[in-house]
Amino acid sequence: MRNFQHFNPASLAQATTTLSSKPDAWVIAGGIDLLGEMKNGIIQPGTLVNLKTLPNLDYIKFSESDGLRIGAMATLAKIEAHPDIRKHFTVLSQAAHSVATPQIRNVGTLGGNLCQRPRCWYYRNPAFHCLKKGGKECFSVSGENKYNAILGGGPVFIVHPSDCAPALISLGAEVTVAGPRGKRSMPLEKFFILPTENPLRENRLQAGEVVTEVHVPPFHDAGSSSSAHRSVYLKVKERGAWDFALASAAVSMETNAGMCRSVRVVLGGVAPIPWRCPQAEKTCMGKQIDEALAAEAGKASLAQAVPLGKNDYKVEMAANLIKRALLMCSASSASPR
Amino acid sequence: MIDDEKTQKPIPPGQDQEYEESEVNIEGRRVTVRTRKVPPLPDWTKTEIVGQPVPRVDGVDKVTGRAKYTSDVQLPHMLYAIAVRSELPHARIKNISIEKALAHPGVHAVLLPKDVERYIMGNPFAGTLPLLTLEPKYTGEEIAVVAAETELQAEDAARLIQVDYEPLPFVLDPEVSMTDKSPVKFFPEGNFTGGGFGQRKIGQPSVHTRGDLDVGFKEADHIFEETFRTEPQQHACMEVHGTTASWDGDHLTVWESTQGVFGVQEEISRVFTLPMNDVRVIGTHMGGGFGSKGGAGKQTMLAVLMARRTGRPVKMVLSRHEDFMGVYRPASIQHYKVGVKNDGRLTAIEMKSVNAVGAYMSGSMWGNSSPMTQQMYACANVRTEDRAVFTNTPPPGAMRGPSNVQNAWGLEQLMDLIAHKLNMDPIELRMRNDVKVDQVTHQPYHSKGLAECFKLGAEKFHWDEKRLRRNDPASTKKYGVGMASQIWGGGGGPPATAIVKINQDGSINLLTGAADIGTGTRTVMSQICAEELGVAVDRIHVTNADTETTPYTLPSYGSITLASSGPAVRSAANDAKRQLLDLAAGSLGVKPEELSSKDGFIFVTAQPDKRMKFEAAAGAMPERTLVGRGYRGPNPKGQSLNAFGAQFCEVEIDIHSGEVKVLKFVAAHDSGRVINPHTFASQVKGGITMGTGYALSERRLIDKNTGVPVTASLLEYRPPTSLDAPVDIEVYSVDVPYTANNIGAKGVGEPPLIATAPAIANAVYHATGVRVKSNPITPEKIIDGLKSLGGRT
Repeated sequence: MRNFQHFNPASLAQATTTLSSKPDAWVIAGGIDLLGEMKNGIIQPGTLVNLKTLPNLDYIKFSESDGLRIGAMATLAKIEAHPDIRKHFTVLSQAAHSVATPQIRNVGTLGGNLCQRPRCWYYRNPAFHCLKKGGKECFSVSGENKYNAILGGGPVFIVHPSDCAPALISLGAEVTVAGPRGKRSMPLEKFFILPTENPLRENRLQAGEVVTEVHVPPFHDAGSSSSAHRSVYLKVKERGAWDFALASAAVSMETNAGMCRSVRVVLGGVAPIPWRCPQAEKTCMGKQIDEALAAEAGKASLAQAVPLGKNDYKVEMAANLIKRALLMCSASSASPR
Repeated sequence: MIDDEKTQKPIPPGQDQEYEESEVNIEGRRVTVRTRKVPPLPDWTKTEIVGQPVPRVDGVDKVTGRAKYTSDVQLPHMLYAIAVRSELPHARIKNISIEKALAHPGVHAVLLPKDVERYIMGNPFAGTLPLLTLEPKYTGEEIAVVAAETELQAEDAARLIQVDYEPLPFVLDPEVSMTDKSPVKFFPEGNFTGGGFGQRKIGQPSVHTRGDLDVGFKEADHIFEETFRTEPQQHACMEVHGTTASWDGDHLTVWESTQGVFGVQEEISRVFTLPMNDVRVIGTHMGGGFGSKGGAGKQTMLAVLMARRTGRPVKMVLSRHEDFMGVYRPASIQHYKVGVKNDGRLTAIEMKSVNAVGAYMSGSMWGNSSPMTQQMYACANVRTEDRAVFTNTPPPGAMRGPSNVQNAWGLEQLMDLIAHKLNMDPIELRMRNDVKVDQVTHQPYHSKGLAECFKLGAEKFHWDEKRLRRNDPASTKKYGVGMASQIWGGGGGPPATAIVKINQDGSINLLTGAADIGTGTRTVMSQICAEELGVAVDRIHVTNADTETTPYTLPSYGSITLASSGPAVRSAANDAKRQLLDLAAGSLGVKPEELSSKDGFIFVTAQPDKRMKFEAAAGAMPERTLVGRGYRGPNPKGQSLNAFGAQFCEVEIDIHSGEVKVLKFVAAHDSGRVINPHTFASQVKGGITMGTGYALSERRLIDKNTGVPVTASLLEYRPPTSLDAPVDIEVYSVDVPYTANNIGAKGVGEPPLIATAPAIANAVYHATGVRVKSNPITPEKIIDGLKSLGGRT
């Protein structure tokens, strides 16, 4: 790791101005992902702009009328344990809980989790000057690609590593970013970009911009006796802790009298962005969810998958996860079998 | 270290009658050494301290951070050294530019291959390794070393060294390397040699053969042909490899994270032609070795040279990334053909193994995976061939249960497969092939508690009941049970010397050269010493693993530490006690042989109230100090000393996700007398945890297109976390009497890892019908396996 300046800005405005004026300035929140990249020599910041000392960026606010607002600096540990999140936004609490280890969740922030860089081992290894780092080749294509993308890949085949992003997209979340020219908001789903748009980046943040807030809107008729909202996050990994998803599924569903009234299905670990599955949603809309329908929804979502040679297993795994998550969210079968 | 040359050293004239020959089995290698005849001590019939769960004597030091490891050593004016490593798996280096690095602030020196070429590590038997090279043969091989005043300066300087490579062809896959298609020729005679400790010849496998395979296969009712594969396993020690070296004039002190300070001392002394009394190696506390720290490392020699060059102490501790580019357990491919009678008796075993051993001869010692096949089950017709195949990968080394761990993955799954086919209890199949004689040496086992392990383990696990349980076909969760068994050495042997010093206040210093590699050596040696002297453990202070202050013992490898050094410690304590009783006899007016020492008192055995305090006797010592010496005597002649065990496990598999969870383990081991149930259980639990990683998640992978390792971190290599280690591990000792040494104990360091992974694989099969023949058993393999079974997922 190279030497660097550590800068505590007095305000968010000063943070974004510094970030946009210095080309080798990087933003640091929890630092979990950033320090790894610095130690591996992937990036060599001259200045780190620290957000930890800025006030009022780590809140978690919930009301029935406004929904959920989370400051970008809220830690994953706070999110997973928050009673309102556990109660109303289970998928998010489960996703935050599934990240890495308790130590990392105590330090890692929501903003950092959404903006973390890919975990592809070619990207993380300084020995490979890969396409993601401005090189010419995505080494995973003919290399060791068991963890790489089966959907939306090309020309790079990373998978987006965030657990919180699929969960939040399934909840219809919006993200707010602040930059030197002020704040702007967009659906979180639109925040992420495919490598065809820019192979070097995973999101729409512009120079000097940082994520400041995530907002989850309230549900339409929470409180109506016949309607229910359930959400779930399922994640498969190769070991019990400190591992990224081989595949994950976030499903958020509103049912009324056992019928699916609205549903969002998002996969993690299978594509360069959190992967929304409209086919699964269409399959379920207006219907009562049973085993056959859930299985069909899962299969339909993966119909376009293009495995790379060593990641075929993800197709079946992701379809299974969608099926199970849908069944868990539907009122008829609340517990997994 | 023991090598062949040394075992043949003549004994000085006139001393022959005091010595005799003894066989020692280290990591499966049998060596004959001469050793002092030691007067036998009576077996301990009833023990007060030995056998008790005494807390670790250094536990508080360790948990408070007070224990000083090699990485903790800080010396005034110390420099930090870092290696420049090859970025390519095979290359010729055309030029190395060091000017920029030398001009970097804080940099003191750079060592290049030409500066160190006269210093060669290793020996002709083991194979040699260059310290630095101009023709790297694997990614990560050392090319140059730079030393600077801070770690950061050294890192920056290492990056400023410009290496110009001419890339050369490379080969990673041993099955390619063995053929004519190999782009690299390692030796004119071929790209493989025999694996293991025997005479190895390039181009020829090492072979064990007995009986007649044709006859055996003709007798068989069933013939099984199967291939199993194992991935390389990395040691991933909590403390990475490292050295701090400091010269004081011509006297060298080296702090080394090592399993054996004397091996390191010998190697330094030989490589640099230094008298041994000028080479002090200290390794009191160290954070795990698992075989990877059996002797000196390249960083040891480079730190010593750099310290000499700069006139400053030099610390060279590898980064975790560098550590992962180094030593490991080699990969294996095991082809089996086995003949079996309807009643389960084995009639023939043919096994051919291919083991990838890196680019240097030194790796070939670890390139065999057949010792269990040769020994474990009664079979008259056996042929094994082990090929150690050269590849452009780092040199492998010993790793906890070398060879047997790989071998058990194949053999113990094969036995399970046969049992299922014959519709027989896997325990019953194993018992039908039980054998009391070591089929390789033709010597009887001194003791073999395997049947007892099966019986006790099966009972505690409720094997009979659990084995017959059926899964709910509608559930996505499947449960299964599996078991496996193991054999290992662990009898220990000479040479080992210990010194027990009694001070005038009755306090005791125990000096032993033995390393405590996290196993609890210091604690169990204190217990042995305390038991023999009849005093409490807290009266004893242990000094260990320091070549200047402690006497020689073999390194802590091959599960030999307890059974090698333990008997020497008892002998030394006994020697000290006899001297003290001689003195006390005068004060108490009796003959020394009428006295006993127990609970801090020396008393007349027949008249216990006629007594004096231990410290009172010590206070009367005319020399104010008393020194007891003890030696490890020979092992019994004509017997094989082995440790046995059986492990049982239960798994839960989610057939949707492919995830495997280990719910329970029951381990029953035959290790002779258990000195400390705490440290015994810790060893077994540690082995099972390590085996769980080997079975389920750990994988070292080198990118096939570039030859660069892509799993060189704790994240990407995936050792088990606390959530992966089985929560419920029950550990049992079968306590079969063992009298081959004066403490009645065998080693338990390596045995607990050997059966773990195949037991899990067998349970996975029992749960799902999927036979996973290559480790690790990842979700991907379960999903693919279920798919090929056509099962519903």
